[in-house]
Amino acid sequence: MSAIRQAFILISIYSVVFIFCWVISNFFIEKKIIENIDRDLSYDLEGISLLWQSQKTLALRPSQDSYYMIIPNSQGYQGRIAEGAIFPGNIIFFPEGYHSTSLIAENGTSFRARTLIRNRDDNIYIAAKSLETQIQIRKTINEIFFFSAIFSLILISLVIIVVARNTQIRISKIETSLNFIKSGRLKTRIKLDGDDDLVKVSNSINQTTQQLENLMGQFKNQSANIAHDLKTPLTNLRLSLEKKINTKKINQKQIRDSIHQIDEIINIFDTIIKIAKIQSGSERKKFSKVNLKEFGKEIFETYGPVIEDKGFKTSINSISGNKIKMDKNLIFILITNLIQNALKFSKKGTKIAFDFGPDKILIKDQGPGIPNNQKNKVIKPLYQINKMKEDGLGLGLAMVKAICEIHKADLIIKNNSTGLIMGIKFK
Amino acid sequence: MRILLLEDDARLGPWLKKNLTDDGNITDLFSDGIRAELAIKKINYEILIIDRMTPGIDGLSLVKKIRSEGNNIPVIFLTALNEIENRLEGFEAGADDYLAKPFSFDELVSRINAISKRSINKKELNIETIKSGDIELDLIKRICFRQKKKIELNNKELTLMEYFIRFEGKKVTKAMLLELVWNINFDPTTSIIETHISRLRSKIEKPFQDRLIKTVRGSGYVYTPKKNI
Repeated sequence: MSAIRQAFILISIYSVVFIFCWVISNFFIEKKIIENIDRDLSYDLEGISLLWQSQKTLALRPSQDSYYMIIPNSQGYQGRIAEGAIFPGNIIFFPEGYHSTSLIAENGTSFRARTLIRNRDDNIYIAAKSLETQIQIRKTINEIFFFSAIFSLILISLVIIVVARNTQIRISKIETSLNFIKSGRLKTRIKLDGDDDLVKVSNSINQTTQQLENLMGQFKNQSANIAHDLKTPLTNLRLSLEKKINTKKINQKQIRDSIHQIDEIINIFDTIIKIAKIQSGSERKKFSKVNLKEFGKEIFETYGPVIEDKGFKTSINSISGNKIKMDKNLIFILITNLIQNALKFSKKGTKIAFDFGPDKILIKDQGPGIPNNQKNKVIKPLYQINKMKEDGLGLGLAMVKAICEIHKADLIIKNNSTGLIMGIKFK
Repeated sequence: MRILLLEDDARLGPWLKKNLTDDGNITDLFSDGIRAELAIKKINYEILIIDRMTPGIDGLSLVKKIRSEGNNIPVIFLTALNEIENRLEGFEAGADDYLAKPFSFDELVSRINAISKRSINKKELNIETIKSGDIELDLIKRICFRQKKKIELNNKELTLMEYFIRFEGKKVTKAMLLELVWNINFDPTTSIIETHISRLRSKIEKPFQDRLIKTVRGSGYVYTPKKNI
């Protein structure tokens, strides 16, 4: 729904509400006026009743708009009510109580009045009060109401239309930008001035687009890298199969090599899919509280012998029994990758040590470390220091980074005097 | 062995059927879950190999259905869905094993052999001690004896030995051991299995100068117990 259309709906709703309030106000004003007049009439009637009973006279000086009358012996009567007002019709046929009627003035004109009729001691007492003043007041109030309604309606309509038009322009800007983004122009950003909700929405869209642009960039880069990285094992595979066709004897080693190359390709895909899965956040539901001491022992029991058999020394530097919320399987993958790196880059005979807790898991090696200018690059998918392609896929640290991110934890990459410290620091 | 194979892939299904048949099994191939269900009701299969996503009834629903009817035939799922939650779904539905595509035929055969053996040994799963040849494992106290001599095994080595005994005479692949002992369903590319088996061998075989765990090159291990003298 456009902002202008919404503005018209708002104006219509405002008008209906205003008319409703007007009618209700009128009703209550009239009700209050009648209540006040009826109370006055009641007092007046009591007054003339007492006066008549004690003095048999109506020595009252009625005010300008009040009229009194007593009809002795309840005889039907048509005529004057005290000074100057004539009751239309025979009073005897009017029941007791309050009536809103028209009275006829001495000059023959009629006017609206409120009348109270009471039968008492065989007499009929009548008190009347002109409503002309009240009618005039109500008329004036209605006129004020009417003009203020018209004025406020025009003013509000103008304000709403201006605001709506402004909003419409801003929404159109957002819509146009989104259409650009939809068509693939991911560099498009929404530029709105001010500090309202639309600006906040625009900022969120801009951030999302930025993220999308980054991801698409990464995706394109990764796709190119994947295509490039797959070409080598696929070429090797093709060549070896080609060779097999040309030789009549089937070489078992060649077949095993081919299978190994296929497994490598599958491994690249599996790892890329795993990273994508982790980055998508769908792994979050598997989090549970893990005792770091027990987990650390399990890791060391699994990898300690592997590290030793590869010709390295190993030990646990520190271990604490803190419970940390984590996806145990993912952290196992993270540690596996860090151990693989430590084994790959350190010299045999050096030490690979572990720290478990209180809020981090660290793996310390005595290798060459990572140059500071490479730290941000090594966590990018398919990036390898020195381009040692035969030594892994270049996906391990990208996965480690993704696992840290899903845990909202920090990835630690720190060179120290003896080697490299890598790990995860939970928050 | 009479095997039901439910696989709707027009190339993989016939290929698996041919190779399973060449291995000496009677293999019935179905590409539709409804027909497979009818066959399961009529024929006494010894093992079901089921693709998770098939036309008619999907594999997962089919297994749930046959399990709810009290049928305990061993089931292996073949699937491209290899996340932990997918595997859990499979096991919760009643599968006995779960093999992710792409897989090696050798791996499938090993799992078929293991699972058929496992189905026989199911009664033994809750017992306190396992005996095999001259080896005895106390699963509660986590102690291993060979020829009545106590062998010091760590927890992982003892679990490895336990699975070798459970699958005695059958080939156990590295992937199976990673899943069973370490609960790992990815390739850690480090030599976890080789290292731990090497250490197990040095404790269980070396002092007795014999070989119980044989390596099947490139694919796995077979444990054959030494006959009691």
